Amino acid sequence: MEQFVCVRIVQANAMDLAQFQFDYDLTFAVFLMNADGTVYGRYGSRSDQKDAQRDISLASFAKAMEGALDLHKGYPANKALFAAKNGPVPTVTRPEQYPTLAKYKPTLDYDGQVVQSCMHCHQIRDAERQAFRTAKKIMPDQVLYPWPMPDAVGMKLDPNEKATVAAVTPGSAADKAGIKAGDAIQSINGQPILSIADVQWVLHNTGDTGVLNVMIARPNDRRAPTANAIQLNAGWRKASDISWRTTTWDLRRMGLGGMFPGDLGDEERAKAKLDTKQMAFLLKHVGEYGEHARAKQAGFVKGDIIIAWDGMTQRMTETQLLAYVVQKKKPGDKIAATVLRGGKKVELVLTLP
Amino acid sequence: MKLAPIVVLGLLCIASSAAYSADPPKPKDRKTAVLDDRKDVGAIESWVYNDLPKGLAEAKQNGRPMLVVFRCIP
Repeated sequence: MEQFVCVRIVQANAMDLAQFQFDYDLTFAVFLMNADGTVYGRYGSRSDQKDAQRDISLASFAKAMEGALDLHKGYPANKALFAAKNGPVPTVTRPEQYPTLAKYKPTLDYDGQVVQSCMHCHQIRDAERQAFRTAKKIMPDQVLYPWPMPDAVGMKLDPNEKATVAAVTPGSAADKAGIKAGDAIQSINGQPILSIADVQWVLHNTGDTGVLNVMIARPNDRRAPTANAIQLNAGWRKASDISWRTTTWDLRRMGLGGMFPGDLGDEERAKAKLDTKQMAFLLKHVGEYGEHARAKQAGFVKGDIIIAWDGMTQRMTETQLLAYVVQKKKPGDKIAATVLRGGKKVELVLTLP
Repeated sequence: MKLAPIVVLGLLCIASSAAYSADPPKPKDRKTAVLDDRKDVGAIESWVYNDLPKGLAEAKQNGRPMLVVFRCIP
């Protein structure tokens, strides 16, 4: 680490969103870059709310740093390699340009209300989504399912390595491309890969369809890295789970009026005499304040089991439920729902914030 | 206080997981945690605290790559 200039940033206020594009749901994210703003790689991934270390480790972080040092030695002769590591300049270049974040100042108020003056990174994603809702525009998949984990294309990567495949889902896009467990990803679409976050970066910036040209080195194979093309078909992002994300809390306000539903497990379904293919969302929490209280005001109660939602009765994940509402429904729309309460059906109508 | 950079980074990672753990320790109120973070981490000579322009200038001057950590204070 002594070979780097180490900078710790604790605020999102005044963040340069053209330079610092990362998964804003993270509470720990790293840029390996140089003074020109050229990004060698990113580090920091997450796929679970409680287990923050499922996808990161000091071992893989050290390897990512070593990789960045190697790339830095070749700079600027290798500059072209990093052209796509800095994303396109976004429409909003500072968080404060979003109406919901306009109250924040560029610096923290250390002498006064320092906590209240600090903008959190996740608020950037919240604000971006709210801008779509306010404009009554459909939230695009890239905004709803940001920073897909490689699992979305069928690759589980080893958290102790830079980007080594630990397992491949049979029948997945990665499987069809010939990716195998043990393969070490060297580059994707020409971009050097230093971490799982680097794979996510490429995925995040891939369209609804596309091809990932993945260069891999295979253990016990001394040949040069080989190219494997992963074909991404329409809707590939929808395999992502967004339920763990901090920003999903605000989606629950937008789409569920503040309800926090969890799919009822098979054992509980059996007790309630509900089929395993039937919708059954147990309300783990119902909000009490502001627009998070819309469901409470509509009569929903913690412990209710939602068995029908806007005419749908099939089993689905919370991610699928949220995606349906925020991509198909607009603020002010009414949703008819049926819940089970004490074994009896109750009909309710939620007006979306 | 002088800590090895890798130790500092380890502490940052551990703190990251604590932020979402089921029973996070709550020894301080948030304001105290924010102020103490600036005092403690800001005192480590090998880190530039919450000042990106200073870090960029340093990297430009000495030609070293940068490690920019975005870390919420738990």
